[in-house]
Amino acid sequence: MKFSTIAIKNFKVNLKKYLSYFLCSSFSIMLFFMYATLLFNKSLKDGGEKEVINIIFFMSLTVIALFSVFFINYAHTAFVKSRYKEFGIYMTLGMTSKDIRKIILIENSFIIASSFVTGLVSGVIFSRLFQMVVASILDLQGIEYSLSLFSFALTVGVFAIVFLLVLTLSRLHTRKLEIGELLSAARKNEKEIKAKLLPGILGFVILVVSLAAFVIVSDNDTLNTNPVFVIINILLIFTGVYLTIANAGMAVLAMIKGNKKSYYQNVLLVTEITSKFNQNKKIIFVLSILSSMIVFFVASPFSLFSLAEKISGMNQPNHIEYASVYGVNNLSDAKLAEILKSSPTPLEKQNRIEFLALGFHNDAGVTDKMNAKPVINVSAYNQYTNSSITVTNGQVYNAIISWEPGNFGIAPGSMLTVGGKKLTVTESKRAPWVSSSSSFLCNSGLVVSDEDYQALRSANQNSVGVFHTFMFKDWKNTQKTIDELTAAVKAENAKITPAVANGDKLITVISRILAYTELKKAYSLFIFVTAVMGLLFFIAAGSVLFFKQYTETESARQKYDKLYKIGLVKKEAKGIITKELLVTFFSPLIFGSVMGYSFIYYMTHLVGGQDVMKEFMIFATVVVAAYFLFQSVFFFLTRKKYMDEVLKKY
Amino acid sequence: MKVLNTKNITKVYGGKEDAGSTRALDGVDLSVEAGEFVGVMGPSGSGKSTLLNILSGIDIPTTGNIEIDGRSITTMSKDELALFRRQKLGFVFQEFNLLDSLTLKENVMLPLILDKKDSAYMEEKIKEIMSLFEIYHIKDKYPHGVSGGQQQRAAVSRSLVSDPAIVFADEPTGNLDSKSSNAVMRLFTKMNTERNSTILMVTHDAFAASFCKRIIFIKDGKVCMEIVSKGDRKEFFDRILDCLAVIGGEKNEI
Ligand SMILES: Nc1ncnc2c1ncn2[C@@H]1O[C@H](COP(=O)(O)OP(=O)(O)O)[C@@H](O)[C@H]1O
Ligand SMILES: [Mg+2]
Repeated sequence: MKFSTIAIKNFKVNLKKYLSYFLCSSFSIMLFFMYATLLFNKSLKDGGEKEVINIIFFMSLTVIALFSVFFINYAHTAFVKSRYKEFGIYMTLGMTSKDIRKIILIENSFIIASSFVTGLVSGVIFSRLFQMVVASILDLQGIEYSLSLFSFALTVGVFAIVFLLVLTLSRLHTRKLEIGELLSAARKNEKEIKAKLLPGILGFVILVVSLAAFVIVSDNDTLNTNPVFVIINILLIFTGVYLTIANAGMAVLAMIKGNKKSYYQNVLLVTEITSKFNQNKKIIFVLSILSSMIVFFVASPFSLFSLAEKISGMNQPNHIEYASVYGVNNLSDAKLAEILKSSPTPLEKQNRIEFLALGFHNDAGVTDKMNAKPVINVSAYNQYTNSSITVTNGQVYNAIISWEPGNFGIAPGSMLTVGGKKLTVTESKRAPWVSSSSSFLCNSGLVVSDEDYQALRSANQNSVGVFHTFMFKDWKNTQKTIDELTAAVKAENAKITPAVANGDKLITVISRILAYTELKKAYSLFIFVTAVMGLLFFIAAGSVLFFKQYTETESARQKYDKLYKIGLVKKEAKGIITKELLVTFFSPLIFGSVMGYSFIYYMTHLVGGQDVMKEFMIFATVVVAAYFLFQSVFFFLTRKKYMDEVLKKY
Repeated sequence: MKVLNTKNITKVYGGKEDAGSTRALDGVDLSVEAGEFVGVMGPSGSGKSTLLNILSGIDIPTTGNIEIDGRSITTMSKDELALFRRQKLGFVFQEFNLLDSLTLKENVMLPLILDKKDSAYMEEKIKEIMSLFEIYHIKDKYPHGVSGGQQQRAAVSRSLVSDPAIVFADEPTGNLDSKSSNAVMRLFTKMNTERNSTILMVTHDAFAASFCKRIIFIKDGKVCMEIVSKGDRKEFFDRILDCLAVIGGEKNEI
């Protein structure tokens, strides 16, 4: 008989332990491969919205890869730990830790190789379904199912790195295996926990303060677009959560110990819960992050989707609009009237708002594609936007229409030279505008006094333009009118010189219905991708919990066997187990929901502030509730199984 | 011939000597001749397990030197130590430490398998030892399918299968009822008298200890007494009880 015979035999008996590790790896590989095939699908690539799709899928791939490192590492560690006793025996019989590492490596090679095969094969099968779903969501016709060699190569390459990383980490751990530790690994119980209140309170204070700061940052239009602030704040929240979790055990102990009577009455329960927090702080923390991602990833796209109508209304105040300026889009009144008359839905309002497209040089202007900003006079502004601002001579009011990072270059009090005239900025803030930001591509519009406007107008005759805006009874029924308008404008633009005509690619007919359709399309992809991601995290969180319980079963049983001998009754044992499981199952969910809510709060401020808050919060609450429900089912199932195993003697 | 010889072993747990550290062993000198059956006794916490772990190379002493079979194990590298353990030392634990996934026969064979001995030799060896300990007929059963006494006999067989220079046993009867415990101790006596094996056994059970030929008592990490059997077990047993009474052992546990 050779050692390999023993190894194979052990493999068969320990199949269950190998299996979970193998399944985790296969699952991650399959998922990655499915996204990779989509990223490299040729016909999808040619299908128009190339960039958005690429970005979304690229991000998904990165997330999956990062997540796999954590997930597989966890499964690997659990797997190796579950075999410590076996390794300990080998070592007392004279194996070196080098031999043990060799065993680990050989076994892992088998698991990894078979995970690759299983993952890729199931990936091939499921990606077909996956691609069909995506194509139908994106409403892309003629998407062919394709498997590119590159997606295989990428998957294999990325996971080779993932496994290499996991094995390296594992080698660091197993570098100095000690027999004594290995043999007592299963028996080794928790380290001594000191009763200290302060660190826990400190962690909690950091958490609360950083959450409050996050709300303030989200509310502040300047801070919430500053990535440095936001990232630091998020990291602070994570730190707070970690410190709270890590010190919760000590804090609970300290609080209970103060009351000797209740401490002694609940000594088993208290020490159990305390040690749960202590042993599992990393897991609880990671699960909290996963939960926050689940809440965020599932709730935000659904909210966005349901808000598509509202958001498109906010982004496109007018049902149809176009700007005619620089000789572009110069449609005759007769033609316009003719098109409007044939509209299937009656026209309710039509405005012609004169503006000046004035040259503008400033850092803030970088994102303004026209290198010019529309300028209108204060009377027109108040009339068409239902506002009542005052702008006196020499002053300018900057109304920010579309908010992009790095777009806060115009500060109140600074001097602007517009159309050859020096003006002082009185205010620069998000405000309504007569058009959307797309009909004349710009981030903000300027409002000047009526007198200044006249002066600028006579000095810049060539820059005079008109916003044509139209409101209909039913904006969802305007597609025909839009198509006709676009065609007519195009025909008109074809007559002008090419140099000017280049502008017509930027100055186009804009409509709410188009914005709405685009949004919906983008959001459904978003929903799909993030929902899959949320599902992934959900599965991951579930698996981590499952493994944890699974690996702890044996030592728990030994403990409860002992307690049984000294007379703990079944009901008491059940009570302790239930509460202990409640901690591991639900504390991550609570922390995760709080974080999830705050990320969503932040998100709403990026998307549109108070107006969309309600929907987001409703969806977040629905997701959190559903999550708690799922988790409860999972909790009850696990508890039953765990109790059956642990309380065999009872 | 001296099989085991130690000089001034100390072991301090918990780093530097401060309030948090424990001096588990405090200058232990010990020597065991070939063919001896030595017991180590002492109150719990006196450092028995620590001593055994250090003697067998599982733990490292803070100071001191240990020679087994003429070689100093304190200067060996980890790999040398592993090889040494495989060929020269046998172990019996309180918890048996058998692999649940292997049959008794395979468990007993494991040291030979690790040493890549040829099959015929292994089969022969296994048969000899397992028959001696009366577990050959259940050789194909798994640990969970046999009694604790039988498991421990398999573990004892395993410790002997590679003909070690010395067998270390830590509370080998600690998990057994008195009947099995008696049987296992007879086994140790058998291997000591029939195979001339050298055994060093830690126990706090005076009955088990009475099977030994010599007993070393330790207290607070120091050797404090030593008695030698005159051949009569009953008489030896009574003397052990007297000694335990003197050093404050766990008489009531017997
Ligand atoms: N790994 C360890 N770390 C710290 N202290 C230990 C460790 N192992 C044993 N001790 C301490 O060393 C002393 C001797 O322990 P041990 O050798 O297990 O005693 P015995 O086996 O005689 O009951 C005890 O005080 C014990 O608390
Ligand atoms: Mg002991």
